[in-house]
Amino acid sequence: MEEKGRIGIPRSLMFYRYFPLWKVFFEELGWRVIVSDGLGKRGKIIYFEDSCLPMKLLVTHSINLRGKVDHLFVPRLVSLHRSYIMCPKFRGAPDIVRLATEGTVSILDETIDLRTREHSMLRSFLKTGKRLGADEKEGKRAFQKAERFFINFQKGWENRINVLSSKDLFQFDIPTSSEKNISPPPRPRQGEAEGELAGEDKREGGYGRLYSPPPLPAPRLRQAGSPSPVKGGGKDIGETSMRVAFIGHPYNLFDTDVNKDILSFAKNLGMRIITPDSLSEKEIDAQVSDLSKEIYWSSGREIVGSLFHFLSGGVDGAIFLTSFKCGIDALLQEFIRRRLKLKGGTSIPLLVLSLDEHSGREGLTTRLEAFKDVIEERKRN
Amino acid sequence: MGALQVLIMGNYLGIDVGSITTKMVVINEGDEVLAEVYLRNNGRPLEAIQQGLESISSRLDGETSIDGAATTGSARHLAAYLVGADLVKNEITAHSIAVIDLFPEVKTVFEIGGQDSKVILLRAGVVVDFAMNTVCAAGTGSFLDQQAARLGISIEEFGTLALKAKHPVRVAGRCTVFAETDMIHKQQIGHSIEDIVGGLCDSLVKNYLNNVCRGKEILSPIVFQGGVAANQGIRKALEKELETPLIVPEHFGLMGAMGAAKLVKRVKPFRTQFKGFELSRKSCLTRGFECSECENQCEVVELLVDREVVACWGDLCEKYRKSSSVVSQ
Repeated sequence: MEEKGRIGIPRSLMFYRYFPLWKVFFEELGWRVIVSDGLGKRGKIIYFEDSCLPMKLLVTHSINLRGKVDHLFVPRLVSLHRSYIMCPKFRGAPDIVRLATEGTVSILDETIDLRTREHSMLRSFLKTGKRLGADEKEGKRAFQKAERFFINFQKGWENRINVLSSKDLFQFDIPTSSEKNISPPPRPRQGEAEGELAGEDKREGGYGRLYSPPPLPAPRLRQAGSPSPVKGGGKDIGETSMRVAFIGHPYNLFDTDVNKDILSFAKNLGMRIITPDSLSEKEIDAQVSDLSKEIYWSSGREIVGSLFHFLSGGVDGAIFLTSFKCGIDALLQEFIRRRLKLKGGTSIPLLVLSLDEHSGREGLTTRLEAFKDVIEERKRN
Repeated sequence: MGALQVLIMGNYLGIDVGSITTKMVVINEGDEVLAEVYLRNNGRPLEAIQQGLESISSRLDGETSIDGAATTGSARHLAAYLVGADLVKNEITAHSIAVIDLFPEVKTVFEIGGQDSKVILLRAGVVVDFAMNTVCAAGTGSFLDQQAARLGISIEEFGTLALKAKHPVRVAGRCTVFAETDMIHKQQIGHSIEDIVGGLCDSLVKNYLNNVCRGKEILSPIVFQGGVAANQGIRKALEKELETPLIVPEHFGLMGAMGAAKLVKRVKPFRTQFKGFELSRKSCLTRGFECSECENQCEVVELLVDREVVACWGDLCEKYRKSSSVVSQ
């Protein structure tokens, strides 16, 4: 297909979850997708207002793409769940980018708000497609293909994290051994493709986290406190004895400019990494459904829900990566602390790491090494 | 001493290179301290390590051999490359090992050093949780140093002065910048230096308990160690706030180094990598350069001993890194 032009996607924020969907959608419509480069070791963060680090990185990456693309894709993510919302900064993200680039770039900023039919994921992408000159049929076909690709990609995610280096996580041409082909998987649902706007977020919670994926093939151990070496997961990696859950916003977990590639360091220490991506919405909800007041941020629900899920067994340790300036994270930390107190503490070690613009890794590695010692010591006893 | 005994009795060197000070200790098989050193880095850790080696060897009798060396502290990797360590250990584990051996019943460890402060929770002699100060160094040794210098008193006097406070003033302890402005304000309206110093101790302790220890279950017995444990003022303020006496170990400043030494004693290296005390008489320096072979532009550091590159690090691709025998466990 002839290349219609270039779409730029900033390597920041929800890129770290939805990039596979976005990329396939635009490519199916005949556009070339350009992703901003990582900051590199010497990268300069562009300051724009006094924002949290992930937002500063959005601006930095957007400016990095300026002049190289025809459109920037910065969707207005109001809600990625049928009932819960995103941090308000996501709502303003396209405006922030527009201001920072002084209106010199065309921004594809359709609203995605899964609480309303009007702004469902599909409809939002159809509108984006329309702006790019695609009719509804083309848009729908591209979206469905993208959606299938994304679901399949998510299935291999835990394996990717543990096998690939962080910079290759979103390199689709490097399939890990468990995803022999990343070609379109079988339809997730029958009768979805036909019918008018079928499949419109009828799944559990829409796009709250993943696409409410089918249960993972990898077995997860549920019984707490079992002294035997924990099995599971590492089918083609070989068994490792230390399973550690990394919890946080996807951009804190997977952006190496934010976390100094803590995942690779953890892997070098012999940890097998599990993230909330591998949990179903049901599993997450089970831990947050009995709260007196609902957590209305979808990311907050995911973090608290998955944290308490993991702390109830199946892992040897849990690490919560937080952004120093993130308001949601600040509240969640306090909330988690109080809830843990009510529950009488945790028998599974928990480490909270706060990330900011430090250029050194030393502080993180010291804590991680010590955390590993705590886990091992506990296993011995 | 019989020949057999000589074979199994070893001496172990622990080195703790922190942000402000360098600590070294040599222990024997029975954990007795044979020699110890505590000195300031003055921003030059390599020189401090060399000096430390020199002065610790002068305190040992000539017969004493070193059968294992371990490093800890924020410059543990640098120190390990330089001296040839058999073991590199993070300071949290090193500190707890030292405490557990001495006080098996202890449940909480406060450690306040030059730039780091930590709390370690122990239950039945096992570390179950820990926390370190995050983005703020308020309340650590370097801030106390700085304030002592500003007030024209030595850091050694600082603690005793604080004990003399009759009515400690309120000082904002949340942030060193605020604390300093607050202290200057109090001094300008005429409060005595004792009361100001006493107030500073109180507020730094509150800051430590509210930030580093937040959400942690602080149970006694509590051990207080690290360089700041020397400060009577801080110690009293902690005891007042927690309403419980603290245990300050005899070698409170050397606990990290002791822990490292004990850890390497457990490992008992077959043949130590330690390069010997002669290192103190060699020329040691580091130099950095920026590699321009790829976009990472790594800042590579080379360590030269007698003008020969002995170690390299900082390169992501490990192209320059020479294979080192240092084991990190």
